[in-house]
Amino acid sequence: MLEGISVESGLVAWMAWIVLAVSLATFLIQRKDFPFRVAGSLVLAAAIACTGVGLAGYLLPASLARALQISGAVAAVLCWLAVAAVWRVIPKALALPNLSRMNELLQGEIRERQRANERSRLVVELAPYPIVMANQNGRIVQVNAQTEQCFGHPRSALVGQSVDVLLPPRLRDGQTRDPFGACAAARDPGGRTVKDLFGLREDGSEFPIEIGVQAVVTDRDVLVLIAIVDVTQQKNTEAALKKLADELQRSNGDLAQFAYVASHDLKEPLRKVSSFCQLLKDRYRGQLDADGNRYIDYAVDGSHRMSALITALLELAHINSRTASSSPVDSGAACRGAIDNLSSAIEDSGADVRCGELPTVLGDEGQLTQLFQNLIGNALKFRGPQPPVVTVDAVREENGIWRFGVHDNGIGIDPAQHQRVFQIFQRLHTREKYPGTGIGLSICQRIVERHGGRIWIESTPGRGTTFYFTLPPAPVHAERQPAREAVCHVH
Amino acid sequence: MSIDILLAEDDPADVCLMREALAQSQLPTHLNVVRDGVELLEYLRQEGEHATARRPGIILLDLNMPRKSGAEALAEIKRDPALRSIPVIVLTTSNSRDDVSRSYELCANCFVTKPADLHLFFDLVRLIERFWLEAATLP
Repeated sequence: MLEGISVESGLVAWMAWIVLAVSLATFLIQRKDFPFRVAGSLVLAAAIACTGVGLAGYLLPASLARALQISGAVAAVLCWLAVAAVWRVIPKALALPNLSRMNELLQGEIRERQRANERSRLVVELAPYPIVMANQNGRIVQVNAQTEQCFGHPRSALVGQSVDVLLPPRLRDGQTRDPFGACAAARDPGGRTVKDLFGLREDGSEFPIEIGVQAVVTDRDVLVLIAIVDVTQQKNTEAALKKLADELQRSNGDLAQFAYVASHDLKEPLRKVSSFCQLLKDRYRGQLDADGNRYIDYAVDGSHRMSALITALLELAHINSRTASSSPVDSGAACRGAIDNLSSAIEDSGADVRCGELPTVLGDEGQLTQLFQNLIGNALKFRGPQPPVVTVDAVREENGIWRFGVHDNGIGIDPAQHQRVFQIFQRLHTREKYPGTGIGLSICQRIVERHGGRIWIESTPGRGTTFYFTLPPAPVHAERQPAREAVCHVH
Repeated sequence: MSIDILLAEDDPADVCLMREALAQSQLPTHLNVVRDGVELLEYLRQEGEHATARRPGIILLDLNMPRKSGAEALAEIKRDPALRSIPVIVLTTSNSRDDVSRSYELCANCFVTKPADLHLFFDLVRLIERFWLEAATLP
């Protein structure tokens, strides 16, 4: 009876071993990431071995007792190996967090990821310009609020459509042209910019856009991020600037035309007026009374003055319309040239004009000569009771710019008038006292400004005036040129 | 024997001034006037109403003229082997660098700007006479 129970209980235990082995094997096959696979495999092997030995005990005849003993020994070794392996992983297994703690950690991580996802979504959603996400085939996957607002389509009408729906029909040619560059971008992770495109609004109107396309590669798929910039404002500004430039060019052309007309057609009748007035006076001398002669003089004087004004205006127009050449100029030579041109005025006024050491600057030699000539001429004209003394010098300022000074001992200029003297046709004195057109200093200012400098006055009425102006320096290598030329002349 | 001067000038007032200026000189000159470039070439080639015209000693040429400008006429004269030896003095109100250089490029013999002042103009005409009609030997 007891024996019967023992055999049956042995069978039950043996079946339990089988189930245990199969479960363990299933677990190990399915959970390839199980951290204690070696130990598990050894336990499995031990279980199989023990099962086998148990089965053999029932089935094998007594004659094979020896083989049974050997397999029993193998099973025993496997069992102890399994024990050893399990013993070794126990500390590691103990170190594993318990499941509820792990769950908590995972939940926290998931919440954190959700927050990050939400942040990323909001960044895209609230970006100040339209952002469209498309798949590799150019189908829209996601759009943001600005896309809806800019293009006038509701989100639902865009998602799933081709990106072409945002383009005017003439630019849609999906496969061959791919204006959004979406398909190309999917293959080229570098990102690209496409300019001079047009967006199509829901109402059919178009607006100029520029887009940036960037492939977004994830482990699941490749998406294309298209950032769209509405460049209407920029294009409008560009167009306005171009219009302005065209107008300027046209008005410059008009000015050149005016200059030609003025030099011929405007002066011609004036010359007639003055010539025939003079002829009248010459021919009918004695037949006119004093008043008659004086009137004729006024007429002649008026036409001469107008002729001088036209000439001065032409000079000013010439400075404006001409592109002044910018090359290294020896300003000393320009100054000496101006003094030569003024030689008779210098002699007449008994002036002493001194030109100090002057630098090589960047500019137009003709215009610089005219600048010195107008300023020195001015000093000679507005002289005081004593013979004029005019000195020209230059100081290098900290930023490398040259500051020139033309100093005189003349009548000076009231500080309140310092800006006025540079305005065209502005005069501070009557023509009888100091003749002139009132344009000379305007020309000076124009020349200096066209050279990128500025001009100003320091003056004490009754003591003298200094005209200061700044000019850019010549590049270092060019400054030595005059010296080299001088050497050449010696040869 | 007076010297023939041919003046190409469309403005009667200028023609009048030139007559006045020449009248003051002691030189025996004869002034003929054509009113534009087309007539100037007809005159020189003795065409139409100028069939009996005499070849001038010098030509005084205004640049701004109707039908054919002074510059065009100048270019044509200097291209024509029969005419190119006649000295051409460009006498104009213009003092633009472009007009000056263009005139000399077209082989003008001299470029003179008319002064605004009458007496300076008379002086200038006297100077032209003294140089071109007295000092210089004409072909």
